[in-house]
Amino acid sequence: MIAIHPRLIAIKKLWKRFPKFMKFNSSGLPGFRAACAITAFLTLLPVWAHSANLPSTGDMPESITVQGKTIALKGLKNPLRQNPASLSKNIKEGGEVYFRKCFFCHGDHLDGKGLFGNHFFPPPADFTHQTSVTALPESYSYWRIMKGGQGLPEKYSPWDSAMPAWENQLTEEEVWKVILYIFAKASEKGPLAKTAIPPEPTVERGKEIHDEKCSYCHGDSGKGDGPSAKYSSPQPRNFSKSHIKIRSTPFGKIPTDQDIFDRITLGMPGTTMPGWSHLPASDRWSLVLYIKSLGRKFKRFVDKGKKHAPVVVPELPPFTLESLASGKELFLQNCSGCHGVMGRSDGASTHKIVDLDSDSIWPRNLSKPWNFRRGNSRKQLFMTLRTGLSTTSMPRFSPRIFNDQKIWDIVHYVQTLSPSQKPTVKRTLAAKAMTGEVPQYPKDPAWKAVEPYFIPLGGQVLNSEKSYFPVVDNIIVKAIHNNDEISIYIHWDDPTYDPILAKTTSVEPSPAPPLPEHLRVEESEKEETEQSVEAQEFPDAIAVQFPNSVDESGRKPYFLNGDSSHPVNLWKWQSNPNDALEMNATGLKNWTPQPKEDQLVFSKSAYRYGRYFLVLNRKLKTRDADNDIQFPMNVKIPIAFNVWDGSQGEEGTKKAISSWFDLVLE
Amino acid sequence: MMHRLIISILISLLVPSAAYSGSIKGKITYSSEVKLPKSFETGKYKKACGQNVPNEKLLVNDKGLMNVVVTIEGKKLAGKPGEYTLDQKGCRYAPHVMAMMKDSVLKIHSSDPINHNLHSYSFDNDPVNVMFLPNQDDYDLEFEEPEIVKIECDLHGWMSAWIIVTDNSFFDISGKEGTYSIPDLPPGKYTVSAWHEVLGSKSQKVTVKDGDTEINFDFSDVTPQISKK
Repeated sequence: MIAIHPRLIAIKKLWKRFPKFMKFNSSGLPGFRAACAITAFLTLLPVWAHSANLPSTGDMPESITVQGKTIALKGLKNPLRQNPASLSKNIKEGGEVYFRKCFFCHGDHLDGKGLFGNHFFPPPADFTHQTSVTALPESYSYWRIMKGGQGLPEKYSPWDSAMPAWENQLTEEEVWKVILYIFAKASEKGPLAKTAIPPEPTVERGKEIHDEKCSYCHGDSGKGDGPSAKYSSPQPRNFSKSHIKIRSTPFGKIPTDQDIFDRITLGMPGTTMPGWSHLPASDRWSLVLYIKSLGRKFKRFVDKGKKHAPVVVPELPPFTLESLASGKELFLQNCSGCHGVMGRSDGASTHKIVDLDSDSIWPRNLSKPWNFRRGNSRKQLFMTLRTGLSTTSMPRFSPRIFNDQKIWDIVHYVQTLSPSQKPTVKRTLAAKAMTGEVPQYPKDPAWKAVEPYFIPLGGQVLNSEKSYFPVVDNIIVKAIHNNDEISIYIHWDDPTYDPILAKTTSVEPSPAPPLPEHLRVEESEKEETEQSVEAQEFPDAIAVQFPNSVDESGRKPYFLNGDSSHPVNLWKWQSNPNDALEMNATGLKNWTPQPKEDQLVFSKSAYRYGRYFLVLNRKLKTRDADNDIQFPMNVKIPIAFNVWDGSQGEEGTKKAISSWFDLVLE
Repeated sequence: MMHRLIISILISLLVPSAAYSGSIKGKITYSSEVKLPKSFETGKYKKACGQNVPNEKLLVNDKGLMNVVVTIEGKKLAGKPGEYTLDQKGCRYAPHVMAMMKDSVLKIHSSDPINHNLHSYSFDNDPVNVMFLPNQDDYDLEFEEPEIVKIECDLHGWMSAWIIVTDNSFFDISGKEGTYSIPDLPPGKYTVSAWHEVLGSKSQKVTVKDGDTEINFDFSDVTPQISKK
């Protein structure tokens, strides 16, 4: 596969347009024209290639109203710049705001690659680029932060933007501070600008970098208690404890220097810890020295004359069917207790060990290898099995228990639990036509032939109450119609199911690891010991969102449940009562169920091994065209999704959300 | 090597070990009305573990509080590390509370026909997270630093044990009646501490002379912190 850089595409487009563009801009000799053209082309390229379809100062209104106060934007200056003595303090405080509010999407590196960065469309702004907002007056940033995506003119499709309006969530001073931070740091991606890199790595240099780059999460003294800590799960590492999760040394042992260096360089995928490969290696080694100085175990290790015993990964064995079969058996026996039989973290013992408040996070969902912290290669999996993950329940499978071949067997089986690559995100979901009854049950074999679409979800971090680390981070959607009815199939991984659901539909939780025959407890014997079933406090739920009606001009309701003038139509299924409800909403908090006689969406749900399965089904047309989406053919119909994991306290506005996608009935 | 061994045997025969006449004895009491925690149901594991596993987080017998670890701090207290055994039997750690001097070795055994996963929560001592398959060899765990270490099984949520690693070998664990006794103490000033897993710890200062010194602890004013897990 060849990846084409977006800038290359932009260049191609420009090249095609080029002659036309020149005709309007110059006259004279062809040679001169060409020279002009090339010069203009080269000068304009960076700006053009990136700012097409992006708003700029020209789109800024004359004035805006913030908290009842009219503020003229033209000539507006950052008042905090008038006080140079407090500048560095204000930048630091701006950083604290940034790491409580902005880093989820815009990222630690201000490059738009935060944890939810690639989950929303359009993607969050990358401030590090030379044509970013930092090239514009600060008043522009002030406007964009205060009014958010919804404050943009219509031509920039403000309904798609996940940029919140911060006018009611941050004070004016906080906004100016965060602007100071962004302007100061966006251009300072690499080494610290202030001081020169020392010839050899030093603890002092490490501290300097830590204070500047790491303390927003890891805290001023490296105890993992920075401003972002309570918005992160897993929480930032507490360096005073000397434990890091990913090491080459056995569980519980301190890491080698190289282990710490590698983690700084590569980061922890799926968490708020990015990689820092752009820092000079010498600075990363200085950080290693500083991190080691924070925990007393490193010094004691040296004082006692101890030596590391890192695990060495042996040569890769061939992948064989025998190995796979053995791996399956070993996995069910030794891993499924926590990871579940399909690896979706719904093991029989799992809920007892998970407690997000104390940073006991879910066992990894093995069907989503892109979230594996160390990586998904066979050697990396071998290393994780042999070393365990310190500070978690993931044990170490030492040679005392399993020889190398058995570890490889488990590795081979684990690799079959997931797709080999992260599914690509397609923005248009095709619903093909079929003849006969549309499938109404998730188990219907007809679904096998329907194309699945991967929809990423991010936390609803736009308005309070927020969900900072939702468990459900993507769903899979399929759709099909028969010119009369449409069926939408959805599955999503949720390691806990609402127990009450077992009364109304098929629920298959992962069984406990198999026991020898004489120790097994038969189903009939089990019931007497099981307690009565109680529903979750908050149900698990999912909502499919459409506009009330499709606007052919392309105007959509705001992606977060519409707005007062552009309502949305929602099909919300929940586990208790197990039913789908048709609703309409004009905003995050204004949801109204339709009257009983208008409820025409039918649902069939199931839960199996850590995964919810749902089919929603409705006629393409209904009599209530004002409040119900009517499905035209071959037209882009906006579609979006909201998911609640009730067991994690998600309800109301606390949920995982998607951007708008397009559904096209063919 | 042989020489050294002989010499050390000779020395141990010739020099009587330092026996002191002081001792601390007492009773730990808990007299508040309290609902004692219910035993755990083992559900799917009932054939492997037995239908119930006792809940040992709070054991009171006629106001005597069991499983309180009494330790002594003071100058010149030393002792000998030892070798101890912890068994995983009937999906329960036996014993539930242990104390041992630093540098002692804990031999961990599993008598059960099913997998266990022993996970220690400690900081100064390297934590471990080890699997035990049926008929597995014992696992030796060394504790180098004084610390209160909790042990759990990630597969069977009810299983827990506590290892109290001490600085010296002057300690005791209160028995069924709540009594304890720490003999052979050199006279001097000490701090006596009593620790219980759900009632926390209390301490008293004491001057030990020849003969028995009685130190009692009463935990009746404390509300037990029993987690649901």
